[in-house]
Amino acid sequence: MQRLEPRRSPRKSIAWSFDSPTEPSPSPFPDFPDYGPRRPGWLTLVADRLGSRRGLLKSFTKIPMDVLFEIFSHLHPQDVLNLARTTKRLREVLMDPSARVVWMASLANVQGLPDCPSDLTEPQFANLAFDTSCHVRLHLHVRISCRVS
Amino acid sequence: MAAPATQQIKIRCNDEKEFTVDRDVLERSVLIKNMLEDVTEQQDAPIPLPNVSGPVMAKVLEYCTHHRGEPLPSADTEQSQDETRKRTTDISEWDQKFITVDQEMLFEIILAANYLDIKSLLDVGCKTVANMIKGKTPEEIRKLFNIVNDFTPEEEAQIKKENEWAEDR
Repeated sequence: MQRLEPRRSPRKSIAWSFDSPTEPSPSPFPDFPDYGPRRPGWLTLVADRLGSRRGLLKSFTKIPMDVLFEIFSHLHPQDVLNLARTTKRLREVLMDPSARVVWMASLANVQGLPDCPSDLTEPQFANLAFDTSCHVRLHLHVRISCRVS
Repeated sequence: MAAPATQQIKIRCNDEKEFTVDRDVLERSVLIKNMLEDVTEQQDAPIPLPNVSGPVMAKVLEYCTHHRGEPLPSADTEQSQDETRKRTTDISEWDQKFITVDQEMLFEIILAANYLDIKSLLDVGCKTVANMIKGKTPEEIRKLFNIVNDFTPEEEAQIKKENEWAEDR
């Protein structure tokens, strides 16, 4: 008799990604390490600390990498830059070559933006084109140059 | 006796909660659609869905019922849409109302849509999270998702200079 069992989901679920040698926790939020079965007792600890909010974190860190990239692909490059400045883990995730699709999609969201120059990475290009701190630096540079001359 | 116009399918969630749903509503889920196509004989046993809880499934079914009858995106159209569509974050009015839930439910819906392979629902969820992130500073994003800044002041200064971008390729 045939038995109904769900097939493997057709979308690949790459869990919160590639373990980096320096970062044993697969969670992009190291302040709330992954509380899977490997860490008995951790859930209770976090539950006490966070009360009803624990579900939120539990759900967010379970989101597969491809879905996370899908979310980030809807953003403006400045938003992706800001995300990469929130935590070490998210920075690591977004600076990995596998996240290039996110940066490319994000840059494509901006109408009329020229293609990424071949001597820049997508994050560099996003930073150059949109980040405000970059403009500040340019101003400083100009001011210094004027003084010297 | 004539067969009922719409076949009813039973599903069972991971909390033992069972639903009996019209087949065409359930077939918004490509996962379930494929499963039903694989099974030719009538089954009385409910389809087990070990990755979805009852309350989340109820929400997902609300979505599927509202959108029943709409054409499912085929693999081809999905491909061309991905290539050409502008990644707007526009969400229809009904979908927007539907997805106005707390963050925990929002992420659970996204996970369920991913597991059940309901592309349009996954899209609505992803766009909603993207809209939450848009225009926020790193600190505001941390607050939003309840995450803590783990950069040292030195690292933060370094990031602001963005010297390390060059090492990434």
